[in-house]
Amino acid sequence: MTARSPRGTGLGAVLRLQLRTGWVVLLAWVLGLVATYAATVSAIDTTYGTPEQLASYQATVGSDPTMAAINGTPYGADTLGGVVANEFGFIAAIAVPLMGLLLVVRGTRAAEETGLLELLRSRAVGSRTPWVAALLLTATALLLVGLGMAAALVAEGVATADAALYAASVVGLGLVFAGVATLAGQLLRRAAGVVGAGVVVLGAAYLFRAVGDVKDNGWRWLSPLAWQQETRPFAEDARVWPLLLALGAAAVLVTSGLALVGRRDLGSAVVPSRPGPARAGAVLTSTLGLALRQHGPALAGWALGAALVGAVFGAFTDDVADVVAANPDLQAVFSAGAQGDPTSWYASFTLVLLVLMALGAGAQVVGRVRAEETAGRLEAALARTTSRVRWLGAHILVAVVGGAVVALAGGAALAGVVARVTGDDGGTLASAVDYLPAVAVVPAFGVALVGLAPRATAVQWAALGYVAVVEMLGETLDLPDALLQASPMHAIGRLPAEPASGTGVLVVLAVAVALVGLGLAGFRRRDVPR
Amino acid sequence: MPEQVVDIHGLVKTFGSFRALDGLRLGLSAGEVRGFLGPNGAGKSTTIRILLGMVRASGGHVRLFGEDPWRQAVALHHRLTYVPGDVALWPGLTGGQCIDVLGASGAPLDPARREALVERFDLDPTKRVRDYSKGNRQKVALVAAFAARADLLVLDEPTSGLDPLMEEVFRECVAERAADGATVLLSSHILSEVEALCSTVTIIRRGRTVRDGTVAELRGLARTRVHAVTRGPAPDLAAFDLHDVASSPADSGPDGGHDLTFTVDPGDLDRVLKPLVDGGLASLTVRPPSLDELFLSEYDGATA
Repeated sequence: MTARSPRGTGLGAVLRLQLRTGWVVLLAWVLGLVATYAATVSAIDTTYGTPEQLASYQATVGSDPTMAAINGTPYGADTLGGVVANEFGFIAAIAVPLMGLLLVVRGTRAAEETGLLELLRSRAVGSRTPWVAALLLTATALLLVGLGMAAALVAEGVATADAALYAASVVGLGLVFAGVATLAGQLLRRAAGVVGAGVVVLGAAYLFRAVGDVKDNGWRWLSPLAWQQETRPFAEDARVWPLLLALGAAAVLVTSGLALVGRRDLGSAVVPSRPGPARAGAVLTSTLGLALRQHGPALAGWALGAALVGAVFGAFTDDVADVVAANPDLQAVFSAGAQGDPTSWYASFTLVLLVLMALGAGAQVVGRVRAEETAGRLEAALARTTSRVRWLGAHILVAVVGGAVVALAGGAALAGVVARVTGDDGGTLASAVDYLPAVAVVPAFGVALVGLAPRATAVQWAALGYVAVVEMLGETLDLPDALLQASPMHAIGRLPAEPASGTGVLVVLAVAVALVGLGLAGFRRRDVPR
Repeated sequence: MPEQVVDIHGLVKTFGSFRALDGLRLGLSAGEVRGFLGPNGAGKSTTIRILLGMVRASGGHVRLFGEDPWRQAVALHHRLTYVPGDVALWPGLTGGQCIDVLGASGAPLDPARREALVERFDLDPTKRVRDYSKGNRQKVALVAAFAARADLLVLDEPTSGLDPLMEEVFRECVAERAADGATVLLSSHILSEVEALCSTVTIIRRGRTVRDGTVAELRGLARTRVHAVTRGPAPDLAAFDLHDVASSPADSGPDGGHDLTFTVDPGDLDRVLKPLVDGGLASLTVRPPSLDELFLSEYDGATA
């Protein structure tokens, strides 16, 4: 009689399917995040084991405005949990939202784009079912991350209630971005566009949070990252209500997204596509031009984002100098000389952010190069008179130059604003230039994978994650020198606080060139498609 | 003697322990239109990818225009154009842009022919690729291929997704290009298409060539199917080499009658008719030799 039996939307079947095809990715996210977090907890428990050490942390690092800008306001920085929350702040602020975003897109828009959902929907599967299933799996994975984090804290003696509030705030942050993916997934037709929109929201959230934390004003309330931070789980004034902001926003985003699914056609989006030119211009018909056309818009977006981050963080330079001048403990730290002067210490963190963005841009290009092959378009190119070296070479050029443009756009904006605020750019632009070899290494690693182990191209993102962990947490984790030096940024040095290592620059450059060479050589020899 | 465009023998390709091609043989001389047939997974696309220098042969002899397609891929691709069975295009570009992108390197596009083909295939060149149906994506690749001034057309199941009207246009285009002297390798599952367009055929199965010859030769191998109903008793046909015989009594005459089907070598047809006429022929259907049955039996491996 009725087409809808009680289990008529096929939720169970779709859940099983998504779990079977996605368990490796889910597990990698959960284990990767929990392991890094647990290592941070244990390292900090070793370094700051006594109340005196914790108090000194709060007096120095905990009051350092550089930390407030990069990691967020360190509430309760005289407790183990507070120190961990601060040190892990940057990684959590980037990784958790990306996890929520990417896990939802994977089972939904990405599957719809490849035509997978069409077959699935021809079975007894409702239009919302894939979205509900992806959201359930994502929420479960986030919950596991939260449980793991709380367990790591409790194991080191943090009060269960504090650990639970922290974990809940992290889960809430992830859910907001799962919601962003759900809504954007209805508005935009391509999975890459949905991820891009999510990253833009994340970038804006990061900037609003940073402005709010440095200037201590209300801008932060626009940021989901602040909703997480402002629960202040380890401070005297811990509170639950900011968590409700996150959960409320997630609920609104998910509900409106799911409402739109039922109103649109499969494979369509709320934003429609327009007709275009009937002929291709001169740019498109060259290999390099086509590569530029494919990667250009995303690279321009990254460059704009980097310039924004550079400008906004550059504008904080004054605040940093003021706070340090007013804080004798901090002044003592800086006059000891280990970190250079406060402004260049601060600038070096901003440069890390900018280089990470440039690495992300380069890795994204290489990921799309691999997608050309899996989508079957590489064959179309190679069936013409484009040689393999020329084809891959054009894409490598776009990836490396594109990454450099992102780093330089951010560096120039930073230098320009710092110069306006303090009178000179403090060597920031020169530092951005010195870091360019490091910017080339991750995409070069990706190219080597494309040539030698194409199915493992996504491993390049792990390399990017490694650089981020070393630069943001390496010293906190007390990693051995060999592991630190494996990060190309570390090999070049902490600029501009210390001078660039000439050997480091050359070694990193040589590694990048060697990786590209390996990739090209492998690409020439292997079967296509693979 | 015409130039040997494709010369493959003893071709072997292994993927790990799987032997995709196992001593395959395929030849095309200039101006030839050859059908390339075989069941799914027989190795047709692998052969074509080796011919295009995308996949490296594990063993055997492969020459395209007398050169090694793996080493000379780029130089050789100036002379050919390729249409895959599942055309992948850049989703953000329009169909018209894709035709130009595809034609930008390799055999140059003839501008007048490009215009005419867009018209003939009824293609909207301003539409984005992501809004095209499968058939329309296929048309984009076909326009780019037929507009190219190429000596060799490599077509790998090129009409999948085309409607019958467009399939007709496709046949006309192949015939025109062949009349211009182009060589065509047509891999297809549509037997009527191969019969209509190709003068020669290669059939492969499990990575080996199982049949190779002109369509006329193959037709000689095929048998004529006869369905006869007689008014009299069963005619005596023991003297003939009949296959697929089915015979049953029928009430077509006062004495009962007989219903008879069989296949016979086309050369014996005239002689086999006499006993049928003598048996009081009530109705007769003769189907000329069709390649379908031959292909099917080759696909099955029944006659290998």
